[in-house]
Amino acid sequence: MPQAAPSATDPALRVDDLSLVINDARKPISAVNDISFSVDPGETLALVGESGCGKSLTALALMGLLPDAIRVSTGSITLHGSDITTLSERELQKRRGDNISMIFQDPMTTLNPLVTIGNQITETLRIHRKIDRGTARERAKALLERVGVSDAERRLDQFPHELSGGMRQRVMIASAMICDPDVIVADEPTTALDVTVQAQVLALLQELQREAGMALILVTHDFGVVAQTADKVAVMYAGRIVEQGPADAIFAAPKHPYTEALLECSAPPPPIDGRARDRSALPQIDGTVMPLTQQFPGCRFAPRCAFATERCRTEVPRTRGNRHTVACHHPRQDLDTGVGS
Amino acid sequence: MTVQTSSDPSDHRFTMPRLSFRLIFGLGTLGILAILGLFGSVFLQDPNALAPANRLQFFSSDHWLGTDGLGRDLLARVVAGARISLAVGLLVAAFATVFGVILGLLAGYFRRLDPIIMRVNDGMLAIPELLLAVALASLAQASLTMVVFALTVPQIPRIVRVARAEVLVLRKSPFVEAAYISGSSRFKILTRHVLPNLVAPLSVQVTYVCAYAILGEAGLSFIGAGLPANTPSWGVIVSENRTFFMQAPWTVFVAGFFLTVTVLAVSAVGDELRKSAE
Repeated sequence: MPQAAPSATDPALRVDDLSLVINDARKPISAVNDISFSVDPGETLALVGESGCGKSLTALALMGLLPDAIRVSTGSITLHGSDITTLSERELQKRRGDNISMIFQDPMTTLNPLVTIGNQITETLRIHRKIDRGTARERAKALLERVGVSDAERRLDQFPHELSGGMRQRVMIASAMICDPDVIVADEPTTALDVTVQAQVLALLQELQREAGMALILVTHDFGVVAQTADKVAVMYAGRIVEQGPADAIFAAPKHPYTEALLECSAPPPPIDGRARDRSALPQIDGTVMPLTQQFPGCRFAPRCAFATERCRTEVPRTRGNRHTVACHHPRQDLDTGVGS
Repeated sequence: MTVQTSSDPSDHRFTMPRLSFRLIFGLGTLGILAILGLFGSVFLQDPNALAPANRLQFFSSDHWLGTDGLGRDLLARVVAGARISLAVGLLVAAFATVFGVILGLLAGYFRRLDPIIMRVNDGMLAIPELLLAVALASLAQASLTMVVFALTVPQIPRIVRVARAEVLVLRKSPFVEAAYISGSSRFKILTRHVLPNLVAPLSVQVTYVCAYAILGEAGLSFIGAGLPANTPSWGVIVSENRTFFMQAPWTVFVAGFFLTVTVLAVSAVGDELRKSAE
């Protein structure tokens, strides 16, 4: 396998025209269509969308962890100079944990209850590097202190049930980072945590990532999380990236009606000024996501879109724009005006 | 405990089973039997010393549990039988666990092997345990090795089933997947993440296998398919004394009593383990 040495200017991870297909008994179903994005070292990309939009599947594809029934039909994922969609399982296994690692949603279940914290953290290190137990332990201790776990020396010998949820997520972060990976994929890393701990963990993740120059891919449905951490945002709907661009541009001037609607839904409710709050005033997007099995010639958001025209129902919109791209026939902002583009 | 590790109340997740009456009874009985079995020969009479003049005596100060049809001291024989029973129970439990866990891990983790292993397993489960044991025991000359072998084989599928079911759950558990994506090899995942988590659920099953093995050895020996006649096994003792049952029923009851209490004790330990595992 030719392996170009990754230069400093290359993105840490690049996805080009990736499509994922579910092999169904009757007919293959396409779950993710032609998505492209890239993340530079030290940069955070947020992959946002509703449940079932394909964001978690994309994350699994990045790790080379697609279930048997799902395969990459077109496109490539370039990590550390090679296309991981073409790598053998053996090759992939060398990269997992070393070049790319993952942080999961639920820290309660992702730690083995019978293995001490110290051993869980050093496990990855001892797989990928020739390193003796003592040195590994020292590294783990330093890293635990870095992720804000108090009394690290003692924690190394404790078992997961002796730690709180926030602590465990910090341990997960430490074990994901111990090999200094190029890319960390975090799939809803704070969803299972208390609200008060969420912000701390996010801030920590971002700080560490900047420090070590890692690329972070944050998979989430929470715009609050996105606003706090992301440099770039890719909004997914029904397997496509409908809008992508710098975070500030997307928050200030969303171009796709779906992004606009999503932002409205996650905006804080209007203040209560004496009047009884009308429950129906909570914004929502009418309708439901079109099932993946349904054939549709146009934009898959069209049936729920307030601005849809006949063209939207018959023709899939191309992705347009340079830094701030959108796949819509009727973007809400002019393509090359708007903040940040 | 001198070092206070944490004030966290969830600290006590790996607690030992609560010291209940059943547990004390079970462990106490097994402990006494083990000590008797190991050291009984030091202070008891020779279990094989014949004394036809003293045959079929009732309990006395000379022979606490009486004598059998050949005048041998029953206490000495029953205690010697305890050694055999416990040895068979432990050996069968150990071998069945080792082979059962290996097959269960293979079937549960490597999905291609699953149908092959499990169909053979189901087939073996379809044959009554004791029937299979008798058939296996009759393959070679009666000996302790043969008895352990004959009792182990029918128990392996029972362990395989439990182990496989646990592995199927564990292999999909987030911490195993997390280990996988940090680059752990399959061997490492199996030995380090899956195997240790099998201990709790399997320990219960293993105690039942042990109880069954003790009973099974007595059964095999009773029908003459187990240990050679004249060996002081509980099954043999019951078998050789049954002809005197009308004259001297205690000769049969003594061995039967020990057998019952031992199996009860092992089952009690198993029950308590199950409770604490839940």
